[in-house]
Amino acid sequence: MNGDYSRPEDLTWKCRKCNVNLVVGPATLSYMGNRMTADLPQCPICGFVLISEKLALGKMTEVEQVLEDK
Amino acid sequence: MTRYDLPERLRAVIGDAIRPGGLALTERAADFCGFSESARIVDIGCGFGTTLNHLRDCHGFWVCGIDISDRISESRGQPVVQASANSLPFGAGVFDGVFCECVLSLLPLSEYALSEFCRVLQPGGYLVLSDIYLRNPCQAQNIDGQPSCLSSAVAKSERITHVKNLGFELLLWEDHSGYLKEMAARIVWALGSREGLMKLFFPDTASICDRDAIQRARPGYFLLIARKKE
Repeated sequence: MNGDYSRPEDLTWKCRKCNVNLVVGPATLSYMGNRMTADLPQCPICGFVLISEKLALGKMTEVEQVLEDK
Repeated sequence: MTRYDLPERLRAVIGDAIRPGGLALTERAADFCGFSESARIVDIGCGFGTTLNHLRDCHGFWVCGIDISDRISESRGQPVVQASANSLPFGAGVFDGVFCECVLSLLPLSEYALSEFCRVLQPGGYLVLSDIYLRNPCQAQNIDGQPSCLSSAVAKSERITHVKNLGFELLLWEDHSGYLKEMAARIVWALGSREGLMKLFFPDTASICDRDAIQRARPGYFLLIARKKE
């Protein structure tokens, strides 16, 4: 599952640990044994991924509910 | 918009892997059946030709496909016929295997199609079905008649009875509902909401009541392999 889910404002964040700007790159998301890949803002050095509140409370919650369905 | 547009709509959202499990279930079935390299296989509802290309390229089978739509140009060199699954343009007993992946539940009269699959198989030939079934079919009455991939989805026991009554020996039934859930999750991710998922599959039925009925019927996914009795 690919696609760019970053917003321009996400790329204004810096990784506090590495002190570099975030870049968009593939990140693997895993939930209940299911894995998917999406392009998300992340630190190019340590790989720390930024999940925005909008993404977490929006489509990420919707996907979780699908995977939780019996 | 018809039920047969669904592959195009799905492809636009999630790319080429437009059925649960993708080629993993195709490969599982091909291995299980142990076809010889000269096997003649027909893929019912071959769509974009993904299974045709795979079975020819990876197994060397002689393959051909049928599809009701005209979206069949991407199968690379294999014979493809535009035809209905309920009236196959082939003689009796000409195939070693019939693959029908995520198609049967789309058909308005799936029992006719199954009898056609039996007719074109030679004795001892294999029927490979992968499709949606209803794990709670008593809740399905509210979704009857909707033009969707659930139109002809039935319970496990009903599907197995259909197959056995036609003269098949059931060799394998496996539940792969996890693949269906995974695909639903991918679509929700791509479209942003479960609302989008329901509209994709049920464009003509927007009521919450219908959607609740679909959820209560607990759609699942199966792989069935049966052999035509000698």
